[in-house]
Amino acid sequence: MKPAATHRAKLPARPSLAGAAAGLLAGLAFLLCAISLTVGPAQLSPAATLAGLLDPADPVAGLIVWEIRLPRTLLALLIGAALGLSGAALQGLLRNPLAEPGLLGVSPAAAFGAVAVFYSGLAGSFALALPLGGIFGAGVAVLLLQLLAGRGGVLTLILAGVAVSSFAGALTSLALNLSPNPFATSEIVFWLLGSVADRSWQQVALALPFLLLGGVLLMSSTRGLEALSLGEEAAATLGHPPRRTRGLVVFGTALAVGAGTAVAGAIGFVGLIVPHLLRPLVGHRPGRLLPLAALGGGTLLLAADLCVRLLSPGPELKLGVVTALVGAPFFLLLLLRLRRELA
Amino acid sequence: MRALAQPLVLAALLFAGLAVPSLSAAPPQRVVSLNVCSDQLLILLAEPERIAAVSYLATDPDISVLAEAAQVFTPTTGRLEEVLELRPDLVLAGTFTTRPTVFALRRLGIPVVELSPARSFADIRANLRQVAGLLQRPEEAERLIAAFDAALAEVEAARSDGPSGVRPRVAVYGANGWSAGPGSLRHAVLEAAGLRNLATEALIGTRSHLPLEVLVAARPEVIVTSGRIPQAPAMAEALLSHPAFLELRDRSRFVAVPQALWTCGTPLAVEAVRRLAEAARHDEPLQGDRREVRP
Repeated sequence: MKPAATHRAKLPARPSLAGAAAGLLAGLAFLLCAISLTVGPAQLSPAATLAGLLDPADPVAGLIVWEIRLPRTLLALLIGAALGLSGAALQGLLRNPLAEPGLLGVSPAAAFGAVAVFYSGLAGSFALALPLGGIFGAGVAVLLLQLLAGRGGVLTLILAGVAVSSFAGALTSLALNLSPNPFATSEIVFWLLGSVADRSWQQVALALPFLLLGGVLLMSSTRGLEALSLGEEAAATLGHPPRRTRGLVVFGTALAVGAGTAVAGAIGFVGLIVPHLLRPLVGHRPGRLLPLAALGGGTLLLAADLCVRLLSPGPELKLGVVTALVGAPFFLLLLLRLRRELA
Repeated sequence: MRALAQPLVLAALLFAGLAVPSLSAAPPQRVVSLNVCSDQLLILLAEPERIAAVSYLATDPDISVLAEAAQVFTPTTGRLEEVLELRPDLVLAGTFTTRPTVFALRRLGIPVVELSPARSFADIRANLRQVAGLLQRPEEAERLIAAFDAALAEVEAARSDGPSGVRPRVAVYGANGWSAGPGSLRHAVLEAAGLRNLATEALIGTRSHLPLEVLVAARPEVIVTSGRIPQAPAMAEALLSHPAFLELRDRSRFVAVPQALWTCGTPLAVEAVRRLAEAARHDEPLQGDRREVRP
């Protein structure tokens, strides 16, 4: 990269730019929410949707809007936010531009945790077991990656992520194949690619507290991440010991990604695309990127879910299909750029 | 005309002779069935000692109506080695199942007859006659068909006795939202029970998937579930406890029809017709009052 470009990139961004981006994203998210409530297999007109929204007791529109479309919209928004936020935090913590919960195996490990709990019947007798299973799986994966990331470079981490995610994927498939329920095997697709279709308030209630708690932990790592961008020793002298920052990001990611994955399956690439697209707007400062990445993640996943509903007339595509269709080429582009920079 | 028709008939006969393995005069004594539907036809039509094996699914009460009767027979998973060990002189298979085994058996010169899945009552009769013909017991098939038709006629008679008018609408809603599309056996059963299948109106496409939203919006008078209690959890069945689906209980009549009754085309499908026809009759008072009442 040319030195001039590097210099420009390191300049602190004008706050107005980040503010404008946040406003724009919030507006877009609001618009997408409105569209999301009107789009679905039952052809409700916008007027009928509004009527249903205002009257939850309405036997058709009220039921469809309140019990089917609203929880779905909210879950897409919240889980997208969790993925965007944890992607940005992981990239800051590991100082690795390719870090992302899906690529690093955090989401697949969370999916395995949830699968183990759900199909064994544990979640049937104790509802909270589902998000806790997901959080446990995600936590193990993040800790494992933390151990590995300390020593290797960019590539070691990504390769470790590939190993963790294919191992977790295999365990998920194995667990579902062993289930005596004939439908379980076909649900491998849900857990590996994710979906928010036909979710209900029950799933929102299960995931919400953990998503919020994880979000708070991740957001409170802001200053630590900023300091860490100057190096570990500098961060410690600035009063932000790296251990504390690491703890916040690890637990925050485990909670947010674990709970989200437990109710919607593993959705990849959101945490990769969003921070990269938004980073230039905040002058490459990891701290200021976090809230914007959450907003962007929610917007992106909601848009992906709308695509899923509009594109497939029959049984729906899974969300991970759409995010990977956009995300995988993006990942390749990043790799190319990274190679050029390293060369 | 006649001169033209004769070679055609001859050619058709020749072709049929090639497609269906030519059975020797001696009727088959060691019949193996590889498909859960042919299993049931075989159990209905053959003497037990002529059945060498049935598929491992035949004893699953979720799929097979004759699960209990099937327990006395040797089960097979349909893998080639297993089938060869049974030394069959006739193998019955479905047109969509155990393909590698079917091709290999043909290469080895073992007679294999494929039964296409029944999509109508006519198919049920045709399949019964085909299997009975192979076993050289045509009178058994005629006996079962006569009983089947009599039972259907009985349901039909009871139906026209009831109050006439608009036929109630019905939606089949199974695990994963799978329904009964037009052109399926289930659709034929619903029609015979005097119900109007929502799937034909709701444009659910060829894949027979009924979105929950469409079900809520359509408000059918009768909803058919399998009534199956899963022995292990799966998300497919979790959909049946979705609040929006449970809400429908106040407005629609729920009828449980065990999947096994109409998964395969057997004469026992008439039991499904009977249950549904009864639900359709009970539906009449539901039309006006309960639907519009809001708490």
